[in-house]
Amino acid sequence: MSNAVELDNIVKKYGGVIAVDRVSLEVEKNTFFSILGPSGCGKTTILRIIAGLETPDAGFVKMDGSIVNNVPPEKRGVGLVFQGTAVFPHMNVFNNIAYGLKMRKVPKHEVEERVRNVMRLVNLPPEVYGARRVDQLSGGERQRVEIARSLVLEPKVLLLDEPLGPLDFKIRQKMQAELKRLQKTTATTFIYVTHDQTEALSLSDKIAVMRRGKVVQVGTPEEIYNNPSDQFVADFIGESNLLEGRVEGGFFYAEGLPPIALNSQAVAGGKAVIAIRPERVEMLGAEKMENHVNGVVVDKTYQGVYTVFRVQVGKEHVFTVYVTRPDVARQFAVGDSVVIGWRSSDCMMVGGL
Amino acid sequence: MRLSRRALIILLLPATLFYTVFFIIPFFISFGVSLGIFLPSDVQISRGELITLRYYEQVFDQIFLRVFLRSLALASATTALCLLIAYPMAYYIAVKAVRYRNFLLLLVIMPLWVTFLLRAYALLTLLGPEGFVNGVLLSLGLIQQPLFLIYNETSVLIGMVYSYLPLAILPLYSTLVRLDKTVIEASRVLGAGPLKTFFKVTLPISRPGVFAAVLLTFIPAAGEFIVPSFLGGPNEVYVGTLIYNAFLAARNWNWGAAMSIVYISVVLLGVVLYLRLVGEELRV
Repeated sequence: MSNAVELDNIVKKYGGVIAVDRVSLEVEKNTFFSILGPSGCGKTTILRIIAGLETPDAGFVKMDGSIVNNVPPEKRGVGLVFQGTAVFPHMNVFNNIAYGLKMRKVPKHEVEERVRNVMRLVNLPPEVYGARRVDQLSGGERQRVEIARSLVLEPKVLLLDEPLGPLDFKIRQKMQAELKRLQKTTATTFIYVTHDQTEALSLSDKIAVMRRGKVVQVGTPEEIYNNPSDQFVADFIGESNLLEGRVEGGFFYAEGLPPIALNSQAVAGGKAVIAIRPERVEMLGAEKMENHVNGVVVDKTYQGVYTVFRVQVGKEHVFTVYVTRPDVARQFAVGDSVVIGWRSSDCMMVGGL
Repeated sequence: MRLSRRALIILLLPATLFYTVFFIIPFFISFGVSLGIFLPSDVQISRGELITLRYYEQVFDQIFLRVFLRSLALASATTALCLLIAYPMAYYIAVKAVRYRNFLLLLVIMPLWVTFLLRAYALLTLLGPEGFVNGVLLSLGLIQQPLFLIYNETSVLIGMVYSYLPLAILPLYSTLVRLDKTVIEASRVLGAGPLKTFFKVTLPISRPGVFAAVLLTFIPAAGEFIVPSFLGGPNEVYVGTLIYNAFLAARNWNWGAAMSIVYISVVLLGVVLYLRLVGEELRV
């Protein structure tokens, strides 16, 4: 089976600046695929290239196995959802959603029916919203109009450019669930651009992490989180305690720290960087763990779900530790001497080697 | 924001005073003159009429009505041409040339810094028998004798379009610059080609700008005096020149005033109808 979208060595420059640098991606059919990266990493440009709104300077865009580089946007059969800003202000909700169908000269009664169906699908009851003017809608409702407007055309691929960006937290969560549901029920390939790692982790089947125009890692959310390919991914997806040092005989040596036992799989020697997730570091009973160090609590911040401790170890290292259990968090205060520890399996090799 | 009545009065006082002294009072004086209440002519005095419609009867003469219609046609043609030239220009400045936007806008506004009179003179020398255009064509050997480019309808129209173009560009620019680019892109992705996108999305959204541009060019163009009298020469008669001549050449103030009142009424009626039709959108 051919991929829904395939990018082959795509390059895009603006003036002298390289926005997209030899990006190759394969997006399988009927998946929720996210492109995740900080702002300016080229993720939106990739989306626009897939939509046909930008022409790549080099490389091929393939859809369903055939090259579409020269196909104009109106003929690509993809849907594109912006942040709710691209609804047509001079049309009511019904006409916004019917726009693409009218362009395709779909018979009137069919337009009526399909628009009504898709409006129900995105929770905009046609009886209530059909005649409503766009400027009477909330941000979330506009967003749904945009999604409906694309979905009604039953595109093979739906591109979403940070669609939930401007919405507040509660509506975001609701819309996230709705997007996931829509992706499953419509069996459409979603390509979702975001800088929000939590969003990407919770929604996606697969994630491509981008940095400075390049794809640095592609994988499932679990792979990306538990097995980051480099320091950047380890630090961008979630938080990480990064340590630089040397690997020798199954141990990791960093300045100012005792030898750290590594997972037996990591046997090669040489310079390396390891990452340890803050939620994997223990503060209670750490003396008995295979890796533990002594430190002093220098900061304690309550975050609701967990409490963030900063622990100074030696002169050079500050460890970040998430403590989820409030009874444990209460036992430690700023200035306390503590022992923190972690398992060898929680050391992720992210660089060097 | 709600203003208290006192604030409203204070804020509107200067404008009200100015327009009362320099517009409303002169207007009613003209109105009085047109009815013979002020400055009655000798004929009127000899007949003992204190108020009369005789000057209006002079206005409703075929020749004069034709001049009226001609002026309205000139104003309409000017407006139409201005829109046709201004829209793509405004679109380019607002949507495409983001980096040079301010510079290009400056170029658009710059002619407005020079007085109208000078610009009319400039065009006269440009298009005249020994002007730049003829000079180039002659030296290229494209023509043997200078073309007669001034003192005709075309030169008047060129002058009018040249004068009013900035007034059409600015309102169009201000609506187009607010247009979200993603709206246009969305239309493309939804299956509309560039032309369809223009007629279904871009143009409808920029309607307020079009309506404002029409208003801003048509009204002053309808009463234009300088351009036709400079570039039209003695043979091209429009309302402006007609009224001017009535006052200063024929020295028949009653007749001139009556003509002014009739023409103002016609234009005003047109504007009121126009605002009724599109006023809702201009407010946006």
